[in-house]
Amino acid sequence: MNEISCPRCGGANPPNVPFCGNCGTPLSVQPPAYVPPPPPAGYYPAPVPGPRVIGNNTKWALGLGLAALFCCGPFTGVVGLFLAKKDMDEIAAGRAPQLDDGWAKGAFYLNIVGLVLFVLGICLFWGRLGLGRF
Amino acid sequence: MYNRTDKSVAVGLLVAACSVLAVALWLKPAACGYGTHTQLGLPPCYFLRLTNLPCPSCGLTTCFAFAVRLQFWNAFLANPFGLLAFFFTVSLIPSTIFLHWRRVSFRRIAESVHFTRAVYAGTTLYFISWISRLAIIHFANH
Repeated sequence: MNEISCPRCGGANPPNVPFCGNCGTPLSVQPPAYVPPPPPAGYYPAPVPGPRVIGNNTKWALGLGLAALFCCGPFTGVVGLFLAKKDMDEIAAGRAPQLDDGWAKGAFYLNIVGLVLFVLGICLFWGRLGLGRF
Repeated sequence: MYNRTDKSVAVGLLVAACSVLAVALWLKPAACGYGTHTQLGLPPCYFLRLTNLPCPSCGLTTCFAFAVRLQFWNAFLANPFGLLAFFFTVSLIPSTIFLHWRRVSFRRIAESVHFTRAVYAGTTLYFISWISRLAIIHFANH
């Protein structure tokens, strides 16, 4: 325990006591300095000033979105959506303000377009086979 | 906190995994290694028709259809990544039951960095599997 000595009589006092127990002189008790809690493990580092960057998840989501557009449809599109949404949530929660929100949204919608085109392709195929009215 | 949404996610994953395996058992694996999904009324792969090369997903359904019949070598030949995806799907059944029993939220797992890294690794393997198949086709033709 850190005892506080009275500036007038020099008497020892327990911490967080407003007045000296010996002579009644007010003691200047300073509140403990605020220490911000450490960020939870796995979150992005603290914001840094400067231009915004494209998040890793967004980069992967862009690649997967392109793959969803050209060949793989849902196999990459769903994963791309998940990764882009993850970055969007981090930005929206203020945990990753250094990331560019525009790119994350772009990657998200790219994957949606990939999935929609996949469904549209199936619909057109069924229409051609006469399995449905599309 | 394990809520109704977490329970729905666990049940949804369990039903999805069981459905995928049931459909794979119902399908007859195509002998050529791809095209099994056309039995479900889905169109053939446009990438394959346009380029004459398999896309990264070509052979996945065939792979599952072989793997569910315990023909793992044929499944591997159809799509190496598909075999990994098959074991992941099978492992989802006890995993989701365990998560529900222990009341562990799947969303919490999905939010972790380790899960994201696993997604990166899976995606990388998916494309490595495709490149290796393209290389095999290239060397087989020359």
